[in-house]
Amino acid sequence: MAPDDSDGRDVTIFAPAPILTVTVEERPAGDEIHVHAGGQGVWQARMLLRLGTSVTMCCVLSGETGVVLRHLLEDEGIAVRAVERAGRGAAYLHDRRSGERRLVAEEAGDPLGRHELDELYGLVLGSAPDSRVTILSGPADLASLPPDTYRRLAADLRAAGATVAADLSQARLAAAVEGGLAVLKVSDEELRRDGLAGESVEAIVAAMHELRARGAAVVIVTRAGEPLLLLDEEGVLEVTPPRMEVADHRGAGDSLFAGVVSGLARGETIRDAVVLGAAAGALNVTRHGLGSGDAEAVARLRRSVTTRRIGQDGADHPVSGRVSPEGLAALATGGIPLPARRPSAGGEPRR
Amino acid sequence: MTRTLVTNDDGIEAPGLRAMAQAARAAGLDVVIAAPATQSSGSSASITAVEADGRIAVEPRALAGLEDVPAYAVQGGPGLIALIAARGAFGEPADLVLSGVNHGANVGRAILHSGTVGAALTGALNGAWGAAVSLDAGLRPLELHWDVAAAAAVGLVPRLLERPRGTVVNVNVPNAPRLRGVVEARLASFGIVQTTLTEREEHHLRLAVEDLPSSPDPGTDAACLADGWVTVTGIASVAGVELGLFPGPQA
Repeated sequence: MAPDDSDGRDVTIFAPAPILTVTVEERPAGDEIHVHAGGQGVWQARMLLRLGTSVTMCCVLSGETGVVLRHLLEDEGIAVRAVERAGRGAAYLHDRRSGERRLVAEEAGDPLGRHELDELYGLVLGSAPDSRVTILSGPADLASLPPDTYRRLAADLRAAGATVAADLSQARLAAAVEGGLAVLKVSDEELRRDGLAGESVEAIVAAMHELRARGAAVVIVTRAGEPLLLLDEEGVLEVTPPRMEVADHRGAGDSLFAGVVSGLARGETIRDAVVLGAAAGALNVTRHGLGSGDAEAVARLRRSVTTRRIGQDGADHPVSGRVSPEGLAALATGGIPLPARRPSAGGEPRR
Repeated sequence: MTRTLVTNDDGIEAPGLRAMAQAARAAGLDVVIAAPATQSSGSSASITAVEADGRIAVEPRALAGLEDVPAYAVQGGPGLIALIAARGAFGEPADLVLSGVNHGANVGRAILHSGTVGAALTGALNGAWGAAVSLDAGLRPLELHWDVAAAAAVGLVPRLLERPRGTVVNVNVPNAPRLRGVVEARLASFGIVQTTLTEREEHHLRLAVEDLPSSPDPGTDAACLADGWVTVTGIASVAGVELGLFPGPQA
């Protein structure tokens, strides 16, 4: 497939540093050497393509590995807009001949210079207006890009009218949310690791409200083996994918995110798109990643996804709060204000 | 069949009232429902009422799923309802007053202010057994397990009826699909009680009045409830205390 670099694609992906992966495997006929593109943005692009969604990837390609990567990406059907530079790019060499993965060599790549980052920034801002959705993905190397880049990029893309989605964690998650996201996907495990939520559904929902208050318009939390949760302006939706013979949850979150973005790129509402995402995630877990021809299977599976509004039980109840007896006295004397009314967005009672 | 008044202070439309009435009916109790037409949390045993044409306004209602159970919306609080029910306002007076299931915990001595508790105590003062039942909903519940709380409370009724008439229990149930068990616990020194502030334009602000930060003494109802137990506390309404300040009346 020869991608046309000038046209608008459904989705633009900011993938600062795709990785060249070289893997050696043992086969009866002798060693096999596999050369692929890797990294979160590449994964996301691959799954979007399999769901029938076209992708432009904005990235930095460095030196020899960059030359190879461009070919690999374009051969997969991804339109590549790249900052090209000399120097070392991210790559690794794995030896799997023993049956286990042994790291032979790995390079993180040279850090991005200010000029390269500015140029990449320009590519994303130039591509996003032609796409329905723009994804901010992370580089594998945590040190190579200052988190604040994500805040600025999210804010500037939003100001330019783009619908920005991200599946990030830790400092990049916080920065992107601060800049403003249309959709944030995060796992409950990551929320716990970042100290944002505890085990219970209530604690997770509280963290989702917090993330929404900080700047993520829609928050989707995946929970391995449990229904996923979505919080938007209408409140909390519990989404239960069909039960599959689960082999492995790895990659299910990526498939889900791709499904959601794919739905949005087709103009679906977020509540429809998350159903598509749940179907894509469910299909993934049976065989470690989406494959070709899966768009139809996902379309069939989405009919088996069930959704349920939760947190609406108190809809006819008044706003709740807590006050000490002293606080009650202060209410009479004007000492403290009443508990703030939360915006109706947070699943709070309508009245 | 034990004649049973089911009432509450959250109002006739509250899901907790419906759950309580359904659980009581399922247990074979002879149920009549009479509840405030509007939210009356924090009304204690208040007997204020709204009069219309020289009468306390009482309107028969049919509650969904309880069409066969007589139900009345009353323009007054639960204390008033329990008082007039004992005088035959809603048919034959009740042997048992089940009050709740209330939205929000009622634990500790602050239950003095609770409308849920006020109805149970008023029923007992008039010769019935009483149970005040509350669900510890928390601030942002995703689901409220009314049925679990109502079933737990109605399950205690046979034990309650073994005690003399006039016995009242205050029951609090954690908001959970499955319960850990039941403990009898003493009242916390202050605890938690629910109230409502009414704003102009009919808006209500529901408030839990409680010691903040709440770290109740171990062994109290507030502490046990926080630990996930159903708590049961026997309570008594007003009783005189002999002070010995003056000589009593001579026979």
